[in-house]
Amino acid sequence: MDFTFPPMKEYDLSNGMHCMLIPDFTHPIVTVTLQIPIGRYLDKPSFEGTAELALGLIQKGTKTYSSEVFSQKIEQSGASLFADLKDECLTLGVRMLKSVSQEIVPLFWDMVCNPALDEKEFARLKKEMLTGLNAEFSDPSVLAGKHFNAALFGAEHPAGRKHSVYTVKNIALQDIKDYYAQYCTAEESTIIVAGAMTEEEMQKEWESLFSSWTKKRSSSPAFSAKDPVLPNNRVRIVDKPELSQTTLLIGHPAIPEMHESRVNLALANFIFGGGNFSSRLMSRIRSKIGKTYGIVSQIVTNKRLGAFTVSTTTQNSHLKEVLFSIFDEYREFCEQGPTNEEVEKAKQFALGNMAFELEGIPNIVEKLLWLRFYGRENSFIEDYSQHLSPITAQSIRDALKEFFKSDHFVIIAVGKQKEIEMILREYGEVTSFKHRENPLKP
Amino acid sequence: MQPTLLDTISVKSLDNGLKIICLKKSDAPVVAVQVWYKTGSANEHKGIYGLSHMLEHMMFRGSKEVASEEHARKINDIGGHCNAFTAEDITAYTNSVPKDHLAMILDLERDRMVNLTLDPEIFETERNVIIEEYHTYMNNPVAKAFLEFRTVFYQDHPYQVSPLGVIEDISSVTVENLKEYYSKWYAPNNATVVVVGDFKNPEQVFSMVEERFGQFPRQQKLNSTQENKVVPFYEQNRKGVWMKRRVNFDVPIIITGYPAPASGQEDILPLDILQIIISQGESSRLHREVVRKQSLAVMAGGMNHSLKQAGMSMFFAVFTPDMGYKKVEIGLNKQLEIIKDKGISDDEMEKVKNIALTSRTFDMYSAEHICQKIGYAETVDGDYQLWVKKLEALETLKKEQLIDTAKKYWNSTNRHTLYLRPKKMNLLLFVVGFFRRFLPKG
Repeated sequence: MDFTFPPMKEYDLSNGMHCMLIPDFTHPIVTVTLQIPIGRYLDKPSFEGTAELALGLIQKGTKTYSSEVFSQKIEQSGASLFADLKDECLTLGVRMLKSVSQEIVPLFWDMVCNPALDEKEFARLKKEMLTGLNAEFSDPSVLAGKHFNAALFGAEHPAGRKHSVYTVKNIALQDIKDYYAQYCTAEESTIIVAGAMTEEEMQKEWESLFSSWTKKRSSSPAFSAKDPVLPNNRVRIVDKPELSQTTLLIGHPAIPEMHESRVNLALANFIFGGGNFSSRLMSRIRSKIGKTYGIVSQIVTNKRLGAFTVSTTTQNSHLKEVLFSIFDEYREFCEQGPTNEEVEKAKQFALGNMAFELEGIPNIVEKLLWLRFYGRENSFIEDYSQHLSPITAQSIRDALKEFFKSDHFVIIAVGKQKEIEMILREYGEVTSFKHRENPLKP
Repeated sequence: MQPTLLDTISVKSLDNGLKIICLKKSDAPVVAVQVWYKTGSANEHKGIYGLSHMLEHMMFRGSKEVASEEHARKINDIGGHCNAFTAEDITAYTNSVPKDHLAMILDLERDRMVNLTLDPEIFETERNVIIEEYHTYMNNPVAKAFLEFRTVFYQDHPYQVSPLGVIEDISSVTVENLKEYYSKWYAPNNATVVVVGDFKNPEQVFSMVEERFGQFPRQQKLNSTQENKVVPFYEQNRKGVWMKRRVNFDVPIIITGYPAPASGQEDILPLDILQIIISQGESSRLHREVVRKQSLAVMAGGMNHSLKQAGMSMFFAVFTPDMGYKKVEIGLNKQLEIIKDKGISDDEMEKVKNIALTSRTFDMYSAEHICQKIGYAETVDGDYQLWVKKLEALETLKKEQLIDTAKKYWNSTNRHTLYLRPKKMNLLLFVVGFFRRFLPKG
């Protein structure tokens, strides 16, 4: 099955921003999405959360309209803003009915180019974020994620330093203003306008608007990072004495997104633990022995690095059996690799699922931004079957041999330490944390 | 004349009572198929609380022609996905697949509607999975406290127990219980098949469904016992209850709930509109007044929980520990009183209309989403047309109707309140909240 993106027009604006126009008249909707290649990694050490706060604060009013008036104008028209922050890029967008686009798009663009970055709004947002971060101390899966990154990548790499109550409290409004001034510019950014407008309408009405944004960054978006030291079976317990279940997050370093073995490992992951009820982990630990509600593996990647993870929850009394089953299945999978039948099914899933990944304009826009961020051609998706066809059980076995290293596992367990520590000691030296403790403590 | 959205929906009822609703949508090569059974935890009682949900799990564990978990695997193998959910009044099974596989999905759903295996050994394994799911839920302190609130709110009605059930019953339900329930409620005259996507035409869908499901007999017992009608709560003169619970959660929360009408009733639309005005977005009353102007809370919102026989109109505020809960509670409740006393502005009326129209238009991008809306309207609201008609009714809704509805349901004498107090004081949050009081308001 091959896929074709809808017709679109692409060009660079005078300020260096790449512009993509996708006319689509299926529904009377217009979506404008801006992607800037800056993200969490640019947060200075001990100031993690700066990008997150900046993204929030940009949406709180412009130099012309206070936050209250701005949100009133957006919501009054039925439009809605959306935003997303990743390690290496951020996205800001607005979706609206075509009938209000004349009013809303200039308002959105005013927000992007001239955010108020107001003191009162900053204080409010910071308080909101600190409250949210405090609430997260009660969420075992969030705690596990923060400890996993800290243990796997360390304090010397931005991937290891997640924002927390310990870092957000250090951030001042000036940090946000500096972040915006330094990094939020048209240079290397991409804007996609999609929906019920002709190319002519889009060009006539908005091209000069989008071209008006500052061109150059005042400094290049670089960050310092030492290569993460490969961990050697580090085990952490985050003590939450009231929990009857243990939340597990287990994993090791993997490859970055653009690595040549990426597709091989994506299929391997589907077979091992990513493929829901078709996966080996789900089949063994949920379907056969009923020791978890869900278990999933993932390969999380960005431009610079990647991680392979397995996550699940199980009652403390089942932890020993679940841990044994995960590692036993992993060892067997790495030694023997997948069967030919499993590989064929994984390929069929990848191809069939593409129809859903491209269902509707919002999904298409997301996929196009993803391609552009990684410098991939649209043909990567359109000819996806060609990327899958050379993959065999043997090529996956080779990739597993090279990149799946069982001696570099990190194991995070959030649960009642008294009941689970002895079991975890079998997997390496255990370091314990109270649930409110900083994951980056030495 | 342009066909309306309702004109594009085709409906047929088979002789055995099975209802088929379909909508052709050809902008992506996918099709969504959902089967909605009009039964859920409302049809349970002490001794079998949680049974509907357990049966939902077993619906993936094998039928005459489909081995245990083959349903999910077959769909995965072609790149599709499937799931299910159990609520108070319904149990729904959802499938989305590339468009060429409609027949396969109908075959799978046909077999499990009447030929479920219910193997005792598999059931014991699945019971363990459900117990794991139960523990995951109960390890969330807010969710756990809310279950208790719900028990008090819906006292003496099956709604007092969540569809997840109670652990004693989950542990003791037998295969015989499951069989009895399955044979009573899983029948063509208690089900609706909804198909949305890129199929040839509605006649083709009707004939494919009839060929597979047409021979199954009606369940005769259904008509006499199906609905256990109760006097609506708001007509019962019930007094409100105030509850305080100390929880392992770092952030204090106030939740209030008012008895509301059953789904599908005339007052539901105005109550939903009131909810948008009071709680949706930054221009909503609660955000503008309680969060911004008075700085009582960090976050405030609400939602209506509409069930077939009763409902709850609920509100919440999340605040910092330095703020006295009474002040927050009074501030939250006051906003409802202001609507009753002073009414609603024209801007607010325009805003809700625009939000509703934009939201409905965006729903149209996803076949699965449309399927879900139609299925819900048909089986919970009582008529699939309400999905479309609610938007039309909004055009003629008067401000006076909204105020009357607010007066009728947001009555302080039957308001239920739950205050969740953290077991331990969070010093950082206390300090942040305390100093923020001295910032200018607005």
